[in-house]
Amino acid sequence: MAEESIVELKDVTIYQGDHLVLNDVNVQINKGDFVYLIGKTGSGKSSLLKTLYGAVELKNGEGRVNSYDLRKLKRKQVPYLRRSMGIVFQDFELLPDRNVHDNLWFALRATGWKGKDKMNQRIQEVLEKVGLGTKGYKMPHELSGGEQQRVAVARALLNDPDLILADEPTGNLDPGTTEEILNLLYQISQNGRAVIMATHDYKHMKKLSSHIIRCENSTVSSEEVVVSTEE
Amino acid sequence: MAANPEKYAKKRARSSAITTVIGMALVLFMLGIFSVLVLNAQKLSRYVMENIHVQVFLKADLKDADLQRLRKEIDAEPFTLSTNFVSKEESAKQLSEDLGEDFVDFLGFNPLEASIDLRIAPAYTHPDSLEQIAANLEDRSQVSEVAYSPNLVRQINENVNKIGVVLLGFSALLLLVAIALINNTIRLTIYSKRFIIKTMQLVGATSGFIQRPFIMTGIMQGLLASFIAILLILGILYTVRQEIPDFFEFNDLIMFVKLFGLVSLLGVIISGFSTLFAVRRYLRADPNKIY
Repeated sequence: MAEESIVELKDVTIYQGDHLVLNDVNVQINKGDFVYLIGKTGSGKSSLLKTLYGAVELKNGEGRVNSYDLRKLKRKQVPYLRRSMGIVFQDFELLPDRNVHDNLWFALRATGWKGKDKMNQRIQEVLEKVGLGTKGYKMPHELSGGEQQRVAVARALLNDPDLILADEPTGNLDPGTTEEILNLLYQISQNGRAVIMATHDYKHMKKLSSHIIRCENSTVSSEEVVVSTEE
Repeated sequence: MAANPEKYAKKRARSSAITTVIGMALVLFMLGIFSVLVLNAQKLSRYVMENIHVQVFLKADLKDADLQRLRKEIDAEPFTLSTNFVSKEESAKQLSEDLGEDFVDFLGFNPLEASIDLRIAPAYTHPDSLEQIAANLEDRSQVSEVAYSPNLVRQINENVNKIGVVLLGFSALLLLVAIALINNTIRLTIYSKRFIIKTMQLVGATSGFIQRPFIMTGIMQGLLASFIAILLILGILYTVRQEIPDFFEFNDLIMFVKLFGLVSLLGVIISGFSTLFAVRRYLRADPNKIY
């Protein structure tokens, strides 16, 4: 079990500034898990994810993501922590000043890739995985919301991380597109990666078997949902 | 425009870069013109200093050998820049020309004395040292009288000092204004890119990797701006020279090297560091506070 766990939080307290957001957080996430993080807006879902990718400092308790100890995380290590995972955001966070291909190109260069052919090949691979193989030349604002989010997912996949964090990835999307993105993320988890997805969209989540982590009243609770996937 | 938002976005980015470069170029141009004034003021004051003359009048019955000895003695003094012997006849001729009347004919004799015209080295042009020099010269047996105008010397000295202080004060002020203006322009440009910087951080880019292209652009813009400023300065100098040919020498290469070196160095340094500080600000900013 121990070698398969990717995220471990023990007795963690999360603050946003001086304000206590979540108390007594105990979470373990393993490879291949598909985890829903649910709760009302303001219940601490985003803060929990931010703690995992180093945007919120962990002050109390123990935390580990991949091989990074969140308590001892230094500012200089944050970029390397983020490279060990893929992150998808509600507002996509694409670079608006360059096209899709160059967005992915930047992410590769920033994470230390070299070699033009290798990089171009990798970009094509991930774009095809999300079904955008022919849209590399488009600027982000020329794409629909769903397409932009698929580019973000493609970017998260570039470095083949074991962990994908998704912070309300479908919050800005219509129901049809939401389902596409959900299926995409679910497939990714089926390939042995862990996916943590924050959402308040209960309708869609029931369809896939998963762990659920619920943020409520400043604390978290876990439950398991198994759905027979054979239809 | 609406048909091609990509082109529009690029156009907007380019126009903001152009504004930055032009703003920097104008500020550097002002600095450069001011430096020309400062450099020329130095030259002017040196010119005045080197042209302070002391006239040493000689005794009427002086023998040629004594005259030559005196001249050699004076030439050997550290305060001497150069000496020029003016004979009785020469000064009479000079004075006749000045008066427009042949007074030697009128008087029947030449009342003037032969003299040595002595130019003082700039280091000795202080009024106190001039007094000492005059006393030193008057002590010599061949000399009848020493003439110089202490008031003129004093005035020049005081004014050169005053102008120097004022120019220095203005340069410092102008430099501050230049830094503030350029810094502000660049900060605005970076401010408009703060979300891009945040996104880059989220993808896992290190601070150094994010900074590098920004700083390269900053340095290139600084270089371009100083190049434009230098062209403008050359244009102005050329125009001024048409009007006042004696204002400066175009073949004064050292001055031009100094000037253009100064302008481009300031351009690159101010632009580069402003960019560095502005980018750092957003690299370290709390992501919740940039909205």
